[in-house]
Amino acid sequence: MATDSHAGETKETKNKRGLIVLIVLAVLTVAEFFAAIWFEGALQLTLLGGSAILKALGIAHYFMHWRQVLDHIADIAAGDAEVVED
Amino acid sequence: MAMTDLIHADLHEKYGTKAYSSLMMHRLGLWLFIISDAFFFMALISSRYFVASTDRPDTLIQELGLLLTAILLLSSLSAYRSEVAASHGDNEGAKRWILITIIFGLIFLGGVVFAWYEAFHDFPPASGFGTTFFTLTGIHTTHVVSGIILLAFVYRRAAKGEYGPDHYRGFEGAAKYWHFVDLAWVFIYPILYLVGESVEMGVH
Repeated sequence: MATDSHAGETKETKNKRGLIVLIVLAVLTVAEFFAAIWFEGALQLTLLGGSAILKALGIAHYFMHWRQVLDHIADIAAGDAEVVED
Repeated sequence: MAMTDLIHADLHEKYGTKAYSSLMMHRLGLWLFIISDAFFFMALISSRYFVASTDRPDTLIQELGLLLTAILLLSSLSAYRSEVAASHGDNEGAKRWILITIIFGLIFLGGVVFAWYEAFHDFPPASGFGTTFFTLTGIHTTHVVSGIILLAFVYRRAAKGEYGPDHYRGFEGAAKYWHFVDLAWVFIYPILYLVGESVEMGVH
């Protein structure tokens, strides 16, 4: 069965992490804005694309907990869970 | 990492494999929906380059896009906090943060309406960029509206005390959907407001 390295964390710790993630997302968003002004062509596209992917990964990982899906699939594969209908 | 994995482990221990498996199936179903919706957005986003190349109207208000992004990012934090509060049995906190998320969502909607009003005056909706702009923001806005309805529904249930630290699946689903709305905008914002070179696309 999947384990959770953050199990037992307090609400404050989780809230603090959420705030840190938001700050990083905000910094990347502002960086994108200026990257669009200062650069053009392929470099601009690469910087904007890279920043968007980083932001998406941050949201998917910290806010959407996408690892749960992999854990669940691993659990099914390991036989720790049943495929149920309800 | 998953905050709800606390419950993931607890459910397995407390209620046995079936309850855990049921939770898992719901999560997998939600993620399948999110992934299928993401493909839809990817198709629309890629169409921008076919329809409008990398051209961007010089009248487009880039600061407005930045402001809309900031509002959605803030709403993602409030949705996250509501889920954290719900997972810790703090019903009042969960309600408060979900209400704040709804308010951010409504502000975002107001911003999009303003962006459309300006866009109608600044570049023709029938142009390549206009088609992309109104389609992408329009489809995204329908997601925002449905997200707000979903959050309002969850708020109503939370007000009735129907969620607890061991059963807040609805809360988790609504919050994840809202984060997805934010995630989609993370790509839509640079594609519409930042990428490419500004060119003149007057209505007249």
